Amino acid sequence: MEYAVEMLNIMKTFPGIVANDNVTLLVKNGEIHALLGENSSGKSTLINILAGLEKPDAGSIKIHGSTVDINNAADANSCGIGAVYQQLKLADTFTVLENVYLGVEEKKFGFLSAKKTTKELEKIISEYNLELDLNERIGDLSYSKRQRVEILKALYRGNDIFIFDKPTEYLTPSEAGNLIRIFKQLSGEGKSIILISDNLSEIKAVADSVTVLKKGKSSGPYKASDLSTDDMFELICGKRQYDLIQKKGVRSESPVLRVDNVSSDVLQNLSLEVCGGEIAGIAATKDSGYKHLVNVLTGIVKTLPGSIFINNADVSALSVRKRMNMGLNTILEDSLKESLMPEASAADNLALNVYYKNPFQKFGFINNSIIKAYSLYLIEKYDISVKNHPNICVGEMTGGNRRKIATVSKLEGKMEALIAVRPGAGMDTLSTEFVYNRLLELRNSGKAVLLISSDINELKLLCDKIYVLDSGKITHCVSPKDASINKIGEMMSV
Amino acid sequence: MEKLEKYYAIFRHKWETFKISEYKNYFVKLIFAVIAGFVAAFVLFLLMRPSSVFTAFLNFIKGSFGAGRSGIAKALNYSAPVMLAAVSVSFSKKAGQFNVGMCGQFVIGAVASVFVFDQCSMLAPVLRSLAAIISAVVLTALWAFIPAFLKIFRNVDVFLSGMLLNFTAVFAADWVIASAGFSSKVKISGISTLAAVVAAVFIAFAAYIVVSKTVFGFEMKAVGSNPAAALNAGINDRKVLFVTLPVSGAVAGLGGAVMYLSASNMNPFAGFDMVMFALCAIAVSCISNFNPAGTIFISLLFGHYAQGASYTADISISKYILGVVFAVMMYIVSYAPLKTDKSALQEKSRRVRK
Repeated sequence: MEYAVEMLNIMKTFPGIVANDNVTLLVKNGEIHALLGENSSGKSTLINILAGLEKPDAGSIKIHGSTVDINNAADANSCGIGAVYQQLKLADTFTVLENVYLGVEEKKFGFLSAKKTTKELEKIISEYNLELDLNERIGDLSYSKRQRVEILKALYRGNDIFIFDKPTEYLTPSEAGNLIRIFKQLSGEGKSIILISDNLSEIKAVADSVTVLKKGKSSGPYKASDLSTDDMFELICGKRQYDLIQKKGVRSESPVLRVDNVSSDVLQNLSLEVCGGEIAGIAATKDSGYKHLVNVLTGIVKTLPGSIFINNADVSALSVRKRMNMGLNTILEDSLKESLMPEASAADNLALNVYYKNPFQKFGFINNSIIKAYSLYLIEKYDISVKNHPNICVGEMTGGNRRKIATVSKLEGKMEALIAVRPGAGMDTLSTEFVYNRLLELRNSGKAVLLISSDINELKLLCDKIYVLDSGKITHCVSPKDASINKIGEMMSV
Repeated sequence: MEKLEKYYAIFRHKWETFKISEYKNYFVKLIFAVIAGFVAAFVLFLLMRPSSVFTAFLNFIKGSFGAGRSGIAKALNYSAPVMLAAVSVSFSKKAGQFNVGMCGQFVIGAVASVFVFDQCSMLAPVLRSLAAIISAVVLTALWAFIPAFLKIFRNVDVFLSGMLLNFTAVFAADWVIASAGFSSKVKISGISTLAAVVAAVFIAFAAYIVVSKTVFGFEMKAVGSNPAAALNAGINDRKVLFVTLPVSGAVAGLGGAVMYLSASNMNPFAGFDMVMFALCAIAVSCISNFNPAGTIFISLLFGHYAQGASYTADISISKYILGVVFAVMMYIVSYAPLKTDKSALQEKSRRVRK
């Protein structure tokens, strides 16, 4: 069988690291090819090379058997390669039509004319059942529709090799199912798809073959039907499962964190309880309003009808800091954007939640040597691999270390309840395992943990009960033992 | 001999830590700035007066660094106000706000101080100057509340509101000058140049201490570095901005007051000229890496160049050349190929591995 894409012996080094070390990627015509690997294993570099955003140091690329030289995105496009990234590259103020023909405008006497384009696009939309209106503005569309606009764009440009970077991460299960249907249709027509995803069960269900990258080296291609999800996990990180701490039965009956009938412009009469010694999960999709919920819980958004209790003390009128001092801590989704100072050192970031307390300050002056000693103590205790360099600025660290720093800085104060938002998203296995174990440790020591995530596997792995959040309402509360992944998925997307 | 080795080891250690600290960049920038200033001036003279380029350049150097004691005094005369204005920019920059409105605040401070000084002739000289300075500081702090208020309650960009307030300040100043009947050149001897410079250096150091050593400075840096993270860590970002911006404004206002209260000044007393002068402080602040203490040296350098520029007037080269020289310096220094801390660190670890 002929190959659509052959990336042979690709080498790419960045200062300090080898991103791709003799990597080979072979994609057949008409197959869905999954590219697996941890963060910083070289997946993005390989994809960027294929999409023309980076140039390889050595190695060759063949498209449909002939060697090509891809120098920029336009070259990639003329080779028939279209990429749909996680951060979609669309102009918000333009309509669907304008976004699609941006760069390949149809002109008549120097004026824009979209008649022919419109006709062609309508045809593609009905052929693939994309359910798009060409005159809608991108800013008004949901994430899944925008993603379909990207697909439409690639199809209109006549691409036959598609790259998808974690396409289902922000989608509800039914939207993901719809997208997978489109994948199957595309591959049935002989178009090739390179799929990057962390969701192994999805890969197992969709992909025909698999290439795994580990620390810049590739292995494969394997046949997807020959591998179980555990096999894939082992290929990716060298072990079959997460090494997690065992759960102990320490559940107390009184709720530590209680939310009582909270309403706002996003939330509707939301109530939930988390007891001590329990991890409660909230299954939430991107549009379900979970970010707003987190802001309400931490105290950034205040003065709502309804109340929030910690150990039966009403905290709804208290500020963020007062709630933290009552023992309510939060690990946020994007550590760099939401909880770290990128230009400051690890030491300053580790002190971000304690700097105003004694002995870190005295008479309004910061004691930098104590902050440094404190950071060295935490680095030692939690084995953060920035040893002896607490002065490097956080923005230059790897994502895993950033996540560790953001997590650790929250764990040291008074702790009654912890809110963790998508703790495993975009992390490598070791860092994910680290955060999971911290959550389990807290649970076993009788604290309350609220885990908000869209990843049902993660929720099933850790939680003692799962709430389902849908457009600002808690619609279900299930036990992870009773509900299957599919069932929870259905609840999320109703 | 052993002792010598020990000292050498200590020196070596200090040198290694210096090389990866931010101070190295600062010193490299400082040296770059001096050279860049002369190169820029030379090229400009070459373009403007090709025939007398060397005379002009020699005049510039002579004026800058070779005009004896009076030359230094005159240079300091420029340095003090620019230092205060630059501290104002650097201080607000630490909280993430680019206070361009500093120019307007500078103008307001200058006009208010001259006005009060003029009106209070019945007071004793010391009290008279003090009243002028206090009125300038208070008025500019109030003036700077406007962008702070707009930022906090309406989320208006401080850069934009500051820019527009600059126009307001300039025309308001010209109106006051015209209606109060000040001459186009004022000559007030309220405070001595030395006092002005000492005060400016003191304030620059104080700002540095506040930023780098206090709890409030930590909160400022947190808000400036990542507002979302500051919010999530329980820092009251409104409080931080509500203090930072007026303080920054007051410092700029003090700069304006100092400029016209210190002895013998040759600048015309008009809103637009004052704004142009204050704008140079942004360049000073940029060149000194937005470090309040760093502005001290760059401002002194600026004073010398300003003094040199006034010497070129002999051969009919506009004194506004100073602005151009400083702008060119800013470009050169901003884009100077400085090694970042990261690459220095990597290099160091590589050497250790060997």
